[in-house]
Amino acid sequence: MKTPQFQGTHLFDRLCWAKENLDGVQSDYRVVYEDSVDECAKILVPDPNWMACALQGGILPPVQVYWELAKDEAKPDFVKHTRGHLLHNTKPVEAMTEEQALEYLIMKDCPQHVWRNWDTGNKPKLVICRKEQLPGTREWRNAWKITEELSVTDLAA
Amino acid sequence: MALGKIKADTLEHSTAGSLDTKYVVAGSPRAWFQANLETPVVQQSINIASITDVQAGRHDFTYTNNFAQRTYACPTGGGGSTSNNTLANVATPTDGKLTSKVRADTQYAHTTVFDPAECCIASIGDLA
Repeated sequence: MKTPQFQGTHLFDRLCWAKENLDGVQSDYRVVYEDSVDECAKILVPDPNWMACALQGGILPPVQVYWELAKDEAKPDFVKHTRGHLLHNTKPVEAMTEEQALEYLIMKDCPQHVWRNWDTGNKPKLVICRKEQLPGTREWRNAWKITEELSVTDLAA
Repeated sequence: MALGKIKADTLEHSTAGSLDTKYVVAGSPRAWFQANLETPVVQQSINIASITDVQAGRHDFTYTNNFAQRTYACPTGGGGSTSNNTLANVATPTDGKLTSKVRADTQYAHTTVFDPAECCIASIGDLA
């Protein structure tokens, strides 16, 4: 199905179009990351409707738009977004592969200090894995960590 | 959109009175989801980009279209765990609520952290 020309259309209206016209895509991939040494690992899971939009193309705004809105919200005097038009008027991104979609989602929803420095340290701060590679039960969930056996150089290779 | 459009500022019933349709528009959820937090995975949704499993009993849900302010409303519901067939208390703490995401803290009996098989939040407010 061809995506309508959506630049200038409210993003929520595009999402309604997608929900009506695209089948959701449940990803088998998970993003595991450590935000702080004192906390357990966090697991990021894409939403199936969002993934369908990413694979379809022409719906989602560039990820930089979210960074701009986050900058605005981080200001101490923030009350209300005044640059929401960036979501609706910026040219939507083209169709992505599932791998590209995960990279986009990491840059959108993981803290920047994690993904910008994922490979600085003895072990990676962020790993993409298959859901089968996670523990089978949630027992000891608050003790989950990225294994020390993974090295940054191994991953780079 | 290719479909037809009905434009009306007011809906009027023959005896029960009338309703300004701006309340229908403004009162509809602009994001909602139903998620299984045992897995965890989002099963039904609109305007949700991802779920982050933060720790036991705590999950963050991010929006694709941010809300305009952090003061949007979040009615919640949940329960039905296979290991603990009970009603879940789903809280949305303000320190985990941004225009870009909502945090769901889940417990049963108001005391014990758990991850229910069903967690639902509908977010109502103005979008950015």
